[in-house]
Parts: sequence; structure tokens; C-alpha cells
Amino acid sequence: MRGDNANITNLLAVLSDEERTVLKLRALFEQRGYRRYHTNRFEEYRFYLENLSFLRSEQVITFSDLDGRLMALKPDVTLSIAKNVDSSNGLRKLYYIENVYRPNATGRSFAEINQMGLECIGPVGRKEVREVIHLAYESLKLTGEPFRLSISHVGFIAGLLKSLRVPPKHYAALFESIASKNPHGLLAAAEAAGIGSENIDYLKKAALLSGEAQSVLKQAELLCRNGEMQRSLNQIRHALEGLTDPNILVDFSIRGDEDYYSGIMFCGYIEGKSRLVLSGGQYDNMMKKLHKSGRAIGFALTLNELFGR
Amino acid sequence: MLNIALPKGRLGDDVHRLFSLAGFARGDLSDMGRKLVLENEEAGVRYFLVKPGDVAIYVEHGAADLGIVGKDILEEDRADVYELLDLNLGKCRMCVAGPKDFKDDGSKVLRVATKFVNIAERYYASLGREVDIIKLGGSIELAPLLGLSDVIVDIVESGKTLRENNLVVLSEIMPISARLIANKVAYQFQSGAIDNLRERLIGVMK
Repeated sequence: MRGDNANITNLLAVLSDEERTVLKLRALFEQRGYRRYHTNRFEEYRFYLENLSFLRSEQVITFSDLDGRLMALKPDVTLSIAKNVDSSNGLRKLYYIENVYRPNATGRSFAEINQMGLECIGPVGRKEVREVIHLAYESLKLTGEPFRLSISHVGFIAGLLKSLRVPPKHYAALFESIASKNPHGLLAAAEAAGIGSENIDYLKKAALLSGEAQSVLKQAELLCRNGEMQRSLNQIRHALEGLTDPNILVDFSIRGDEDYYSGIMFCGYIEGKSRLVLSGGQYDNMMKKLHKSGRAIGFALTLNELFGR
Repeated sequence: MLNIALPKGRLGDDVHRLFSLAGFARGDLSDMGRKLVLENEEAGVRYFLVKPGDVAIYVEHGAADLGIVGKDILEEDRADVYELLDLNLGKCRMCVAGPKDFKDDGSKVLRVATKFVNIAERYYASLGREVDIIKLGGSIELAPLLGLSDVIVDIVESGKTLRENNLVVLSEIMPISARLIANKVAYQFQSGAIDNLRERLIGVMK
């Protein structure tokens, strides 16, 4: 036994910081009952073609398989898991470490991006949502770097726009300004959408809210105008139960495509990195779109970002 | 310390003056000589002077926390950044221009010369008009005169250059001005300092 322990210590000494972090994340996920999942190496291209708006880029690496089918190198893991995992017999808690292929930051060539993430699929309730948010928080924390976890809920802005009776054709322009925290763009989009001047200040105030979670939740509470907005704040509060850390923010500029996302959305940041390192959310609508029963929530860490600059 | 990328040239000078008024800078940018970095420790800011077209790249990649960039470049590059403030400086318009008597009857593919390939493509795609985009580096106004293109998509300030070349504005695509942008990660960690800077800029803009 003693010899074994010495061997393990020797083995661990060989690991780089990155490999240690990945092992710590695996241990964290395994302890909470998540099991490693390996996705298919390739997917049929038409699968992505039907779900282009979920992907960050429409560019996908394709090739003809030996039987003539047009295949793709995965640009995303969540879609594959949502499609292939059967949760009809109960909750499935899975994590993965996989490479995906997307255009790089310059948009001039494809990059191989190493992702680690988890998905919780099936009868997902409050408890599971809270567990996933807590795991995202702990994942960021175990990097040992200064971090922020930022939470949003798609229902808050959706409810807000409904309360102002904004015609849906104006949503895209409003969402774009909200996502870039752009007050002058939001003003122009609001005017174009016919929102009255008495409501424009309210819209700007509510839609551009962000900051330390508890303080934003208090402010947002006063700005609720319908049940949908109220319910989304309640769900954020439930998800954050037991977490009191000033590094947790609420930021309604975070949102995802409504064809896929529903409910809680979140992002993780590490100081000094150029891009976010973690992103996730509830994607019940994607499950519906894929004709799957059940609900789903998950997140992915971009290891290239985490271990890069 | 906030790292701010400023565009070299007239816009950068105007912006620096605005930052001075707000108490974030001292002296004149033209006193910098060949130096590219200027630090104001007291105000907690450091300025880099970069090519106007590169500002958004510095900010998106996190080499600068903040930057000042024209909306034209922001739209063309679709940089993934926060756009926090319209500084109302460097105002102009992105326009389609062509010969006075030009009428697009839709009978053939429209030839469009421009430096702003993405803006032009998106604009014509939104109209459902098929176009051939011809990318040029400058002197865009020459293209219709020499028959290289039917129209141009370019920035119009006073309209003087167009008039001198017998061209007129055929339609306006969007108004352009300088914007304060922020890196999305830097904002999460320095939102207090960044919001304060923005509020003080708003204060002196009025």
C-alpha cells in the first residue's frame, strides 16, 4: 500500500497545473454524482443545419463519410448530448471533456477548442438547478483565480418587453443593445419600437441592471411589472440559495436564443482573461425542439480560455 | 488602473480633451511625441495610442479594458464588446452614394465599391438586393467615375468630397460617431471604475 501511495505521489508530481485543475473538476463533478460521457466523434451535418442559430458560428467543418453522408466535426457538445442521451428512465447527470471545432477569434481559420462541462437532463427541478449553479460557482472557485459568476434569467427581459407591449419584430434590436449594455442603442431601438417616453427610462433602468447579486435582486424586485418578471427573480433567488459571495453578480444583459434557452442563464469570468471561461443555462426549449421529453441545464468551461491568457 | 486604447489622429485628440475635462487626463496628446503609452497614475488610467481600426481588437482581446472607436469600425468588425456610451464626437453618416442620375432599376447585379465590406453586405442583404462587393482601400469616390462600380458605400462627413466628384448621397445606412467600448471580462472586475468614468464623461458632455 505504502509503495502504491508513493507511486501515486510520483505520478501526481508529473501533472501540470492544467491537468491538476481538470482532475479537481472531475473529482468535483463525480462527487456530486455526475458520470463521464463520451459523445460520438462526428454528427451528421444536417443536424447542425437544423440548429444553426444555437451555434456561435454557422461555420462547421464537414466531410463526406464513406457511405456518402455529409458529416461534421462537432462545433458543440450540448446539442449532441441533448439529442443522444435518453432520460426517459429518470434524471441523467453527465460531464464531458471534449474537443469542439469552431472558427478562431480572428475568424480566419478553425480552432480546436477543449471544453469541459456538465449536463443535467430529465426531470430537472429547483434542486437540480441550484446544484448546477453551485457547481459552476465551485468550478470557478477551484481555479484559485479572482472570478465572477454572473446570473440572468431570460424571463426577466421577456416579461419586461411584454409589459411594455413591444411588437416581437422589434425584439432583436432591443436584445442586441441590452446584450452590449448600450444605453444609446437601447434608446434608439425603444423609439423605433414605439415605446412611449414615459416608459423609456424604466426600460433602460430595468434592462441594463447589473451588479452584486443581492443588491440587483432588491432593485429588480421594485421594477417587476408582471408575474413573469417576478417568477424569474424568484428562480434566480432559489438558484443562489446558500451562496453568499460578492463575486456572484446578476446581469440581465446575458441571454440566449429563446428557441433553445429558457430560464436561468449564467456566465463565468476569470480576471485577466480576454473572454468568458464558463457559460451555461437551462435549455428546455432545445429539448422540445429535438422532440425530447424532460428539461435540461448545463454549463461548459472553455479550457483553452481558462489556461490561456 | 484602467487601460484605455485611443485612436491616433484628430478623433483621439478630441477624446483626450474630453477625458481632460472629466479629470482623467492632463496636458495635450500632441505633446506625447513618439510615445505610445501615457500614464496618469492619479486618475488611475493609462492611455495607448493605436490605429483607429485596431482599437476594437485591443479591447476585444483584453489588451485594453476600454477603447474609443468609431461606430463604423465597430459595425464592420462586429467586435464582441460592451458599447457603453455615444461620445457624440467624430459624427458622420454611413451612406450609399453614386452619380446624381443613377437609378437602380434592379435589372442587373449592383456593383458596390467600399472599404466597409461587411456593412455593405449586411445592408444589401437586408434589402434582398444582389450585389457584387468590390473592396477598396481608399479613394472610393473614384470607383463610379471610372466605371469600376455603380455606387459606393462610404462615410460622408460634409459631403464635400462627394460634390467635388459629382456624386450624391442616394441613401443613408446609419449615423456614425465615436463610442466608448469595454472588454466584457474587464468590466466584471472594474465596473465601479468604468461606470464612474462613464458618468463623469456624460457630465462634461452636456
